[in-house]
Amino acid sequence: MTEKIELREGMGRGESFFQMAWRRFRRHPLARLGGWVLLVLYLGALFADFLAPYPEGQSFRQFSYAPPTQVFWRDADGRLTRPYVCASERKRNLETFQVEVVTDCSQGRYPIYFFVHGEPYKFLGFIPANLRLMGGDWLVNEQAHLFIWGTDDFGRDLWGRIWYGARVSLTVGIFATALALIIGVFFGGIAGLYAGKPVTLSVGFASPEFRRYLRWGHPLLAWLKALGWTLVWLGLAWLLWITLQGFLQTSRGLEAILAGAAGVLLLGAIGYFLIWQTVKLDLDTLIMRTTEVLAAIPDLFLLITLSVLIPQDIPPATRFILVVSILSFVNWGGLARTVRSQVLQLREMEYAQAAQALGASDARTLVRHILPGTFTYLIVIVTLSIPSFILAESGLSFLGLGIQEPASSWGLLLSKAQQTGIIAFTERPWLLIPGLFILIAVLAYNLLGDGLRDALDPRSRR
Amino acid sequence: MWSYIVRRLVQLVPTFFGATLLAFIIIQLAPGDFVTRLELDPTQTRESIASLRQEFALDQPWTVQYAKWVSGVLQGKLGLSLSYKADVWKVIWPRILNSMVLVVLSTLLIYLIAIPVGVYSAIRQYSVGDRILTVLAFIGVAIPNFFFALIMLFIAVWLNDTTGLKILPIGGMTSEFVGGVPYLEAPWWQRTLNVLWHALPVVLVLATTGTAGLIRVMRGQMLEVLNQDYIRTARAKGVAERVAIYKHALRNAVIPIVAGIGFLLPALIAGAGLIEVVMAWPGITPMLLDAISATDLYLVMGFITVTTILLMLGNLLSDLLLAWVDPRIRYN
Amino acid sequence: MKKLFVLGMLALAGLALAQPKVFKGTEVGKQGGTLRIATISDPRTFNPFVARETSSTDVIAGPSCGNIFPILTNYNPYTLQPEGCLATSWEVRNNGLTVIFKLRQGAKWSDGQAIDADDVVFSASVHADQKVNSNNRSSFVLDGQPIKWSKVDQYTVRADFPKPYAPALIQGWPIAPEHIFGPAYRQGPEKLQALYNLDTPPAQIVSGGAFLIDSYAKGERIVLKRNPSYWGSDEKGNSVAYLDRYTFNIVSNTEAQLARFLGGDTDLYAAPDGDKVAQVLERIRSNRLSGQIFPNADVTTGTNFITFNWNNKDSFKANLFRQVKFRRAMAYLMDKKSMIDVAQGGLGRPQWSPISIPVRQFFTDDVAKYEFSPQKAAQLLAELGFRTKNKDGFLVNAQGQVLEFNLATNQGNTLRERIAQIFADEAKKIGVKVNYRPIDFNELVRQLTTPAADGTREFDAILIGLTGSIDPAFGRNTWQLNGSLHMWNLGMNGQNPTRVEPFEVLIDKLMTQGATTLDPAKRREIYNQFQKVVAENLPVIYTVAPAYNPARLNRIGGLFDKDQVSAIVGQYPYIETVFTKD
Repeated sequence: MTEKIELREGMGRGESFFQMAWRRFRRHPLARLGGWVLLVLYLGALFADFLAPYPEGQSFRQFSYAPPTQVFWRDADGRLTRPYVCASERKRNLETFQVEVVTDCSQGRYPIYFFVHGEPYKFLGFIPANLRLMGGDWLVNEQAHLFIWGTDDFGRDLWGRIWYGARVSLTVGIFATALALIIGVFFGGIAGLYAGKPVTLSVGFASPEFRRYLRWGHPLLAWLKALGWTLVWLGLAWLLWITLQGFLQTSRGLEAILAGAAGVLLLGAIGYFLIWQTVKLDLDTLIMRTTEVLAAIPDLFLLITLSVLIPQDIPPATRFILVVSILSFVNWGGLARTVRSQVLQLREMEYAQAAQALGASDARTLVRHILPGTFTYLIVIVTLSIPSFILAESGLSFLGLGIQEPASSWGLLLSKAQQTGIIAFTERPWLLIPGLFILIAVLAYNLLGDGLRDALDPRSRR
Repeated sequence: MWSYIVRRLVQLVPTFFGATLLAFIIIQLAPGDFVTRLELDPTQTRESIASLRQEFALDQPWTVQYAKWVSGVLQGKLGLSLSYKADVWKVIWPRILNSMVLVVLSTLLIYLIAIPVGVYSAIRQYSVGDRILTVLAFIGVAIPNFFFALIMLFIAVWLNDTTGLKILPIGGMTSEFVGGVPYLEAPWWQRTLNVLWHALPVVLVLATTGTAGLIRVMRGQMLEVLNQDYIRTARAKGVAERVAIYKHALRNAVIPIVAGIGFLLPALIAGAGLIEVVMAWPGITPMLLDAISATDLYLVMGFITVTTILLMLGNLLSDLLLAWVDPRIRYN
Repeated sequence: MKKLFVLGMLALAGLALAQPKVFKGTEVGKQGGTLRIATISDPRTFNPFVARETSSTDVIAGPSCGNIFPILTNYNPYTLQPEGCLATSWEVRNNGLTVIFKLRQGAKWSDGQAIDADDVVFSASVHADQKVNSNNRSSFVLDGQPIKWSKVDQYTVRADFPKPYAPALIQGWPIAPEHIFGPAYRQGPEKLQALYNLDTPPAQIVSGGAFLIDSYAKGERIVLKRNPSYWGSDEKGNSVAYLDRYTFNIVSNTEAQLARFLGGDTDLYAAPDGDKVAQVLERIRSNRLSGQIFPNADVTTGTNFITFNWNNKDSFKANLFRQVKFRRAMAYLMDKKSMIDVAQGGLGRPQWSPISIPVRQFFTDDVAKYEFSPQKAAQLLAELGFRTKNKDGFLVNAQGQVLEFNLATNQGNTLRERIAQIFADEAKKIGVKVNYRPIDFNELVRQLTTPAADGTREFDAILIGLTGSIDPAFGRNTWQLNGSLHMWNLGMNGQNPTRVEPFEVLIDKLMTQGATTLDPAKRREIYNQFQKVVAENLPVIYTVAPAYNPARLNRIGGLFDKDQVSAIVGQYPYIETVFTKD
């Protein structure tokens, strides 16, 4: 017995960290389930054109809010047969104002075929194809319709749009996290690396520092830099001057005197900096203050006002990118803070110190020696922040600020249920399906992330 | 410690100006202003539009507008709301109070649920119970909360319909009549009960979405503490498992969570977000949305000022609390 | 001395015998009870000189003679002709240049002070003051010239108009107590604006209307209560209002508003769409709600229309949009049936001309109608040179220019978004490339109303709406050549546009005539012609008018029957004669 145990421990010692993590991860059935569910959803998004019987934007207005098309399994004699649908008509009953759908099989029965040629599309955006999961000639000719999960307000097939929408909803999180990560790691890394080492912003022309500064590098470059900071200072002074003028025009009394004094003081300070003083700034302080500023402004306000700034006459793909940018702009601060604290710890490690001592540049030290140390931590952060971005996108759609029709996303589809109100539950339950997809995807990501956290935690002892 | 607090307070100044300046610029970047909406009113002439812009100083450069606003704040005035023609503080304060009702109640509920569940999950890690609770908690996070609010509204309507009674309220914060008399004339305990009854469905929604995160934190903290050497020493010394868990581990695991309560301050002000909109709760979010869509510059700025200050004070408070309960942390 | 004596006697007589206004309700009711309605947002102020949003004016003014602050004259809810409120009678002199109003003697503010000529003249001067920026200022300026109000004696005021003005008697503006607002006004407009804000204790707010403010809970409800010193009575001489309490519940969400009506917590309701109508109907039919709903009883006064930019930067587009054939082709592409069915849930009516359908005294249906017909549209476009299609299936002319334009509407307005999409869909089918874009409302207004330095504007086409009004003269800003909302062809800085079409000049002339003609029959004729000219030349292309679907609980009396309710007047003739049956 003892031998065996020793043997296993011996094997364990030979395992790499990731092998060990993988072994731990596989003990999480829920996390594995989450992984599989996500795989299925992403495959569905990839093959959305194949799964959907209709193109993304195709609408049948006369079928607005049509319930799922009735699929028949038995023919007129009651025998089992290939599933088929019949032509139907939707109208609003002007007595009760309820929507009624009448299915009429006397005009013909339209069998559903699988793996058929339907409306052409471009697989992956460039491979021409027309293979679709289900349909038939009748579907292309619009003799009858196939809405297996009903339609939205414009009579667009919900089943298809869920898969088209999955492309947006399932990638918005990844892209937004990636972008937030890039910004966060960049600024967090810089902040961590330069903490306590201020960077010179400008040097006063009349100060002895300035002569030293000129000797230090290439003179042309130095003078260019000097020109740059001069322009910045003068620009600031100009802005202040205009503000002061406008302000004094409309105020009087003590307020005017105090404001005038403050303005003159600030202008004087700018002049002093420009001529005599060296201005140094700790990048760490600047970046951390910026993240604090972002955290202080309510997210909802930032999301709404920034979304309003997105110009509307742009293609949906560009809009998607801008929505993603806004989401990540609002959220990079937290990431930057965590990366910074990790870098602060790691840069004191011997190997990072050694790299610097051996003459590695700051950037190289950061990228090659410090950031890899934050890797496992970031994986967990990423899997846990993707679902929150999926939810954020649906919130934006709820406010009508996310993806715009006729493009589709789960949030946008769910907002149809919101528009319909509580009768969505009793009269149009199919409108709630997108909510279910959001739930499943977010849940899957959370379970996966939870499993990964346990698996990758170096302190975990299992 | 005092010098630490003073230093932190001084640090708040640039953050405050940064946040308000950024918000101001973003609002200015958006097209149109408070008066734009009136331009589509056929009864408004060009000169009355221009005269309104002048009255609200919207014709000034934005830096002047900002300077004016800052000068007001320094004098203790948050400015006049453009649409209410009243002091911003007086406009938003009652709404903030209404939102606080929700946040306080739901926070209490969240702590009451999350701490015991987190402890259970940690002690019985990977048990069936732990897994079920984990999934349940994650489902709470995974439903978009505005959608969950709609579900709750539906449940309320359905319950009232099937029973023919008023079991759950439909929107609002108070009833017009309480016990047969107008709300304002009812005794205080009846009014309190009435508000609690109205808050119930909203708080349930808020608590469901908020509990999961805390459960995971609690579980993680507990697991970490249970793996610490002193717990193992205690166990080795023969301390009963119950005592080890509840007396030593729980106390240490709960400390950071309770100290983190300072982070709740800004949440108190930010309110319950879109849930307030869906459930027609007269909190701060519907007002903020209104103010943004009407471009009521000073109302929005007032709101941001209050949240900014409270967020910063909340952070400070949390740090102080943490340092106070955890002797390992020193002021620096 | 003798004169003073007579005046004094008259005043005494007034004290003893206040001249009551008789409110003729649909039936004689009884006193007591509460009317509960839902409103979408809080009032912003109780100050009549600051109030702008309907959420404020609904509370302090209301549709009748004024809930809190009275008005001189209003339109009669049955005939839509002017009738007196605070004014008992009036006399038109000087070919309509002067109107002398007699005020109701013995009418009092709720603090006991008399409502007299000083209050009227003071209120008029404050509304007219540019520094106050009252929302009613337009009622005191006629084409740039002021309308002067002066006191004749304590109960007589006189208004002098720079030119005759037909709707002079129905532009009700609230009258405020001079003894409260006067001293503040003399200290400066800011002091006046600070009065009667939402933090003013309700008991301090002096009323001259049917109600007093009882209480206000922010974000929750405003409760009005009966003003015992009000000057109204019913036909039998009982004093009105009948209601003891009149509650505005603030319910910021349309879904919750419906739920409250279905739950019997709101007495009057207007269902915004077919789905909500269906729910109310279902509830009433299954006897779970004792009430009534009249689907499609009327249409709302608001209009939705598409307008094209004749000042486009792109001269090809500008010239195209100026062609009446092009605009008619676009009108033929409006599938109004589909718009009603899909966008409005089967409710509402198509609209063809600029006067809102409920404005019955001026509306005419006898205008050119371009019924949905893609073939006719294609034919007209062919006549303009767009005969062939390019490889993408869009029409091009001989020069190879594609028939393409952007259509914008304000984001978040579901109705407009749907109408725009239906239009774009149909246009695409015959090869017109319409790029539909929902954009931010403020940005939309900016593009519409702000020309660049060279007089051009950015947009191609915009789908937008204007709130309709009871008198077409109030919409002159849209139709006169130099109007700031002459949105298809906008001039610079209040000037006429540089290039105008003959029909625009005709419209301008008709609008001026319509506003200054006093004879109702002649006005009707003028506005009939106006509607015909617009419908034929289509400077704006109207879409569909949303339905007005009023609903009420049976416990409320004094309401209109189905054939009397209208979007302009509402569900009852006077709030004073609404009562509760239980």
